[in-house]
Amino acid sequence: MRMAKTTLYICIVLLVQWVIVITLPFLFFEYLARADIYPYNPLIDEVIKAILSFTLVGIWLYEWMKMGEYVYKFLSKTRFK
Amino acid sequence: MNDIKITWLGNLVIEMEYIIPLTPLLFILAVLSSMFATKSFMEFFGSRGFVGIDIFKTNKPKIPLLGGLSIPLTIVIFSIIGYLTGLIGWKEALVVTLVISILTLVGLLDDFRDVSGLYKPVACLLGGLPIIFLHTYIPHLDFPFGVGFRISIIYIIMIPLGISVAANTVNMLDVINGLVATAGIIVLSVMGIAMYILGVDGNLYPIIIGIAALVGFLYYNKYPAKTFLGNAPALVIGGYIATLAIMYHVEFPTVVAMFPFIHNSFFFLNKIKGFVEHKQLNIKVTELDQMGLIHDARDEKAPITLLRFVVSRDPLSEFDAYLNIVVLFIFSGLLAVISCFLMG
Repeated sequence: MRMAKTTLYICIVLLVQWVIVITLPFLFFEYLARADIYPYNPLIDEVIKAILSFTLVGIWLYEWMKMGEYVYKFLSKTRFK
Repeated sequence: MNDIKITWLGNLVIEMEYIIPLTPLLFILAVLSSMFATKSFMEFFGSRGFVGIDIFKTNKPKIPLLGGLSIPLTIVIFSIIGYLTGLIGWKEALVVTLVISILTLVGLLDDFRDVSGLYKPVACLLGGLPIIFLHTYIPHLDFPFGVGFRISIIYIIMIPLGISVAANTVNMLDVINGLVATAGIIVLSVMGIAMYILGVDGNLYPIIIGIAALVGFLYYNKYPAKTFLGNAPALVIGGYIATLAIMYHVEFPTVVAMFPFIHNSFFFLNKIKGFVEHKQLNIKVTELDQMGLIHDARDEKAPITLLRFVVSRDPLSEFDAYLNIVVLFIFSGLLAVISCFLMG
């Protein structure tokens, strides 16, 4: 089997995403989900959590794209001619 | 071990008073059934001219399509057998049968007709309905470090989205021989390990049958492939993974295990900015040289798919590209298993 150097770089990209995805819910939970919404309404509570979490997921995916594009361009420049 | 002290499957069986390990026996039968069904579908579709060109071979051979229909067929039959033998409940068997049937029909329409790129993502949403109506879900998301969210209303909306995203995400990585089947085996295995680590109240039978169906198909789909998977079976694999993740409450580890799928599909969508069928995409993502090595086509307009990424620096043979992407799935699987320990 020929192990491409790019595979190692993709593993690093995936590792970074994993670190983000296990840290983000914790930060969200600690600082946002526990905030009191007065007067408390379960539907509004869920909608707000959904909007915040989908926004965070969107930011995460955007970061993933940008990191991946950067790594791809870096690897493309170092290829054998 | 599973006692044969169930159902109407023969008084003779009950009177034998054996304790026969049913699950391993059914696993072997499912593998053999899947192999037989794959060969049958290969011959059926091949003889009727339903073939595709294997673009990553220098001689461009014509390969029968839809050999992967053995996968949904095997899973449904053995889910029913699982219910009849008491290995799974009627709800699990029914949900699996309905979700797989819906996704198979959605995919077959795409396989036999030219449909718009938006058809598959929208139609696959229907796959979530059996899970909602039969209430085979827990509306609670668990994350590492003791974080959990109870989201009764939003979870119901996320079910059809999850099925559609998973189904189409898997379908988008069906680019080289044996890749989707191997990736499916890895993801399902990781889900089984996750269920064990997290102490999920459910049995591994559906996971084992899914793996068996894929192993049987992979025998003919491995490099050099004698049959292609097809859209319908690819959607089924993704939808089946999502269904089991929801039913057995292992959503987070499953998402982590599917990172390479997510990487591929979102890079594709980010570049193309829409749901466009691969065949309608007039852009070369990769190209094959005369020595059979896959190169990055270096088209600025092309999406940075996982395959393109892997060959971006150095060209690789199809088999080496397959092995490198499998390494990514194994790596993601390891991260998913570590996540389970952080969730425990």
